[in-house]
Amino acid sequence: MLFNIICLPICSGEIIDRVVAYVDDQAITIKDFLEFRAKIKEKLPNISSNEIIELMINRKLLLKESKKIFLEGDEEEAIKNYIDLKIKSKIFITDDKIREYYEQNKHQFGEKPFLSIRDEIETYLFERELNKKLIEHIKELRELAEIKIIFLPFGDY
Amino acid sequence: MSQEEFLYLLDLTNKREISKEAISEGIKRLFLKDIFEDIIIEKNNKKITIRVKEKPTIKSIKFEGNENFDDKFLRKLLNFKIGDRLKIVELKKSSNHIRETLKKKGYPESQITFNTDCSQESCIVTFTIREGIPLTVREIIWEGDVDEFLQGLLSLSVGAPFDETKMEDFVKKCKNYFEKQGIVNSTIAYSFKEGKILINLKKGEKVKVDFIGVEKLKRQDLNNLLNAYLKERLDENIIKDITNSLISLYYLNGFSEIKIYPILEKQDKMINLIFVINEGKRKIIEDIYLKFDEIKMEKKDINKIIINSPNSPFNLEELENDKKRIEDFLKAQGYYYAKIYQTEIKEEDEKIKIIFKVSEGKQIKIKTINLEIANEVMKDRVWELTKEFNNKIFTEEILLEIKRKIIDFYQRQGYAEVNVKSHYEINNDEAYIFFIINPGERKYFKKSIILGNRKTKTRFIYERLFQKENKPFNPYILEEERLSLYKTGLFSKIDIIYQKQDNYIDIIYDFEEVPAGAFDFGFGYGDYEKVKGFMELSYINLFGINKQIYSRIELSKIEKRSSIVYIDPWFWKDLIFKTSLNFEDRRVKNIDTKDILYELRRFSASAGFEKRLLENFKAELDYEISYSKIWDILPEVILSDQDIGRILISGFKVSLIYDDRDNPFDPKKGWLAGLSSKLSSEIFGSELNFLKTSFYLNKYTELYEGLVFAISLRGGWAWLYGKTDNLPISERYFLGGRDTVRGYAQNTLGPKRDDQPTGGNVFLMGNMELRTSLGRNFFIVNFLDAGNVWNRVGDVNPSKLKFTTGVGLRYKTPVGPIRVDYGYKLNRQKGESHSEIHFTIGHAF
Repeated sequence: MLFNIICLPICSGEIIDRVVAYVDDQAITIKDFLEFRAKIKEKLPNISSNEIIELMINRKLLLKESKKIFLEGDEEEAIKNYIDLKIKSKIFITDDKIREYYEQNKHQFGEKPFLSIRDEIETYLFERELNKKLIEHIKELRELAEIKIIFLPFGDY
Repeated sequence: MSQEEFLYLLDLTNKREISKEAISEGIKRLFLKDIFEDIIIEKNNKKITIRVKEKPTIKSIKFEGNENFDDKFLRKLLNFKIGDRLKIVELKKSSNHIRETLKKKGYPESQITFNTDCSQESCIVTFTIREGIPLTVREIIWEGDVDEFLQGLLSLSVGAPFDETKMEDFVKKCKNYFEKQGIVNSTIAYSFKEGKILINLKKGEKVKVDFIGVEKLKRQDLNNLLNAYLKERLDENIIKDITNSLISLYYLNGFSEIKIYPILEKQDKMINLIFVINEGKRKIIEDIYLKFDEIKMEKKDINKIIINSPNSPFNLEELENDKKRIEDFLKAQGYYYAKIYQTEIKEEDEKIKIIFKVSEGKQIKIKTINLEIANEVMKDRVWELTKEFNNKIFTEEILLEIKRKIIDFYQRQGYAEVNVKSHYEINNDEAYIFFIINPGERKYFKKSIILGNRKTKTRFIYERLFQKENKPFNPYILEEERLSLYKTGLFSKIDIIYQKQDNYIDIIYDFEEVPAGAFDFGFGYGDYEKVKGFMELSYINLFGINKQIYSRIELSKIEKRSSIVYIDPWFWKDLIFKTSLNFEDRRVKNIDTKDILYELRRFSASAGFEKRLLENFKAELDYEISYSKIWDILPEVILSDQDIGRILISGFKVSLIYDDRDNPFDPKKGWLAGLSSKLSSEIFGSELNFLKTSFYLNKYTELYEGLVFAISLRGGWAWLYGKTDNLPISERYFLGGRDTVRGYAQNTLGPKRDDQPTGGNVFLMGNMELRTSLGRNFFIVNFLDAGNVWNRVGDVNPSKLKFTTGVGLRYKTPVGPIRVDYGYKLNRQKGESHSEIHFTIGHAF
């Protein structure tokens, strides 16, 4: 390799771009990071750079898996389809579980009858299960991937 | 990775404005190479600095603490090898794999840790193995149907660690044994507790099958079908499946009234499975009739597509499918409304006549093809493309063909995501076709990323690619590239992956290489050389650029040959360069009289070019030089002074070769034809002046499946000029033997002096073979050979051709058939033998 130079932590000129982190053979660059940060900060203004990088790594992992199944569509679409197929489709909230939750948390619902809030509880339980399964799935994917954070950008970076 | 490749993938060139988007994409492309850990692109005034850090490579792998498992065993469990880039995830995966394996081998407490000792460029990886205390087998307890033979299948013994892989192997062997013995419903269970293995064997029942009432089908066929079902278990469902399969087999053979009753009798460890079969009458189709409303149609085309065709067994199960097949066939002829409205079956003396009454309707023709193209992209050209289909007969297939043509056209123009929808209307027996086409955005080729090539140079692969950056994307070019790269013989797998970026597409080529080196050796027996052997060493990827070297040694009692050949398939564009050095030392003998005709030692060299002019047609130009020494020559075969002593021949050879055979080792169809001419002259330093021209014309035709007709015509002529009056014996033509005229012994045909063949300057030969497959890779060959050798062109006399016929047996192998041929002389001369037998490898032509 002709350019076998170790990068110094502080570079002397203006950085056009560099690697922030990588997941296997997929690089995340400063440009990607800044674009993603701008978008995510609109929804989560207090999110830290570290959390942003972790989020980007998770997305890379899901995207990589989803592209093995869904060849067409943009990133968002591919990830969504992947989660639908691999996680959502395997979650079943039974009527017993909904009723059990209702009975255990009856004090929160006051006088509301079961049937009037059944769908609301089902959605809540579904989302809770989805989150749990998604976290587990990402953990599995992370164990099988080579992940490294090279540089954590702050401020303008 | 070269600087050139790096900058190409980064998309960074001098004197061009820097785009952050392009640089970001470039970094991602470079990362795909799996070499880098960091890349930083910096700008300082007008200077760009690139800083990179590579992932270190693995310099060595060590194991510590392993006492019962050697390094070789552990190394096989790793996911990586020396030279790979260091990846912590792979070390973790390998640790887990080692731990799981050791656990299974009887070391449940094993713990594996690893550490890396890295310098700037490389790392030493050390695995520390703590095997722990093994689960030791203290006792093996057998329960159930203990059998000495089955006990012998267990390779575990008392005192050894409890190795589960050996237990799994034992279960597998037991199951195989039971299956071979025809025993079903057996159970093999084991458990391990406190050092004791408890094995519980329950031998199932032996199945005895009998068929009652089988008269017309072979019992062996029924048994073969049955054996596919009788594996581990036998229950009601399996018996039902067997019965249904037997019924289908009978239907297939014309027994439409077949009745089968299975009876199951159990006695101790025996199951008697009896199939009571009432075969009924076997019915054969005498003829089929198609009664159309108006048209007349040849039945022979229909007969080819239906199962119930004349002279075949009547198959009731297939009758409905045959109706559908006929309807589909008619629809493919444009009879869109074709329908079989009645089927009559007439039976007389076990002969069946089937009458299909068909309402075929009118033949539909294409009236118009309407195109609705978004933004009218390339509408005129698509219009031209579809014009030829107007007034053609309409079928669903033709609709698909037009659609395929349109998609194909747009894809070749860069519209990779073209979407074509079609529908049609039929009015007054005419079809109106509509295509709604959305070509989508035009895509262009961007960068090519080469991955997976360890031995082959990346630059070499880039030079073999046809697509160019910024040209419209065309998937067909990529397929041509793939084919061309496979032809190098360097790769076993080439994955081509598209990576889209807006309107540009990066192409990732992911290669798996085949081992470039090979060592072959073999032994054989020929009737002429007797025992012979060869050894070949080759390497087809010298310097990582597909240059090839082959060295070969052949030895027999009468011959020693060795050669080194160097080939550069990419010398200049598609021009192939070849050069070789050869040595031979042989004793040429008259196989009939066992006399040595002469002894020859020859050193030769050649260099030349080969160019493919058309797909199956190539030309070669070679310079050849040889230095020969001939001695111990039999006085009877001496024609001139040049037959004895040392001789230098130097000249040029031109060849034209056409070869479109389907398989060079065992052709079934195609042509092999060639014409070559060698000019040897004093001008090139040769001691002899001659022009030798030869030709061959071989044709292979598969008459029926398993029956190939092969015909060959070969000839050669040497024209002598200047001071040369005679060719030396080593350059003269000889015929007779395993590849020429097989009724004669090797090299014994043609001019003779005192019964010794002298060879000649002209030969002509023809061969015909009928190669019939006998199954199981055996072939029988009937042949007719004709040919002779003459001293001069003026002596050629077709009436002097020698004819031989014969028969041969072949056994097919991957490098051609092993063969034995018996050739019989048809116009034998007084004193000649009647026939000859030849053993060798490969076809005669």
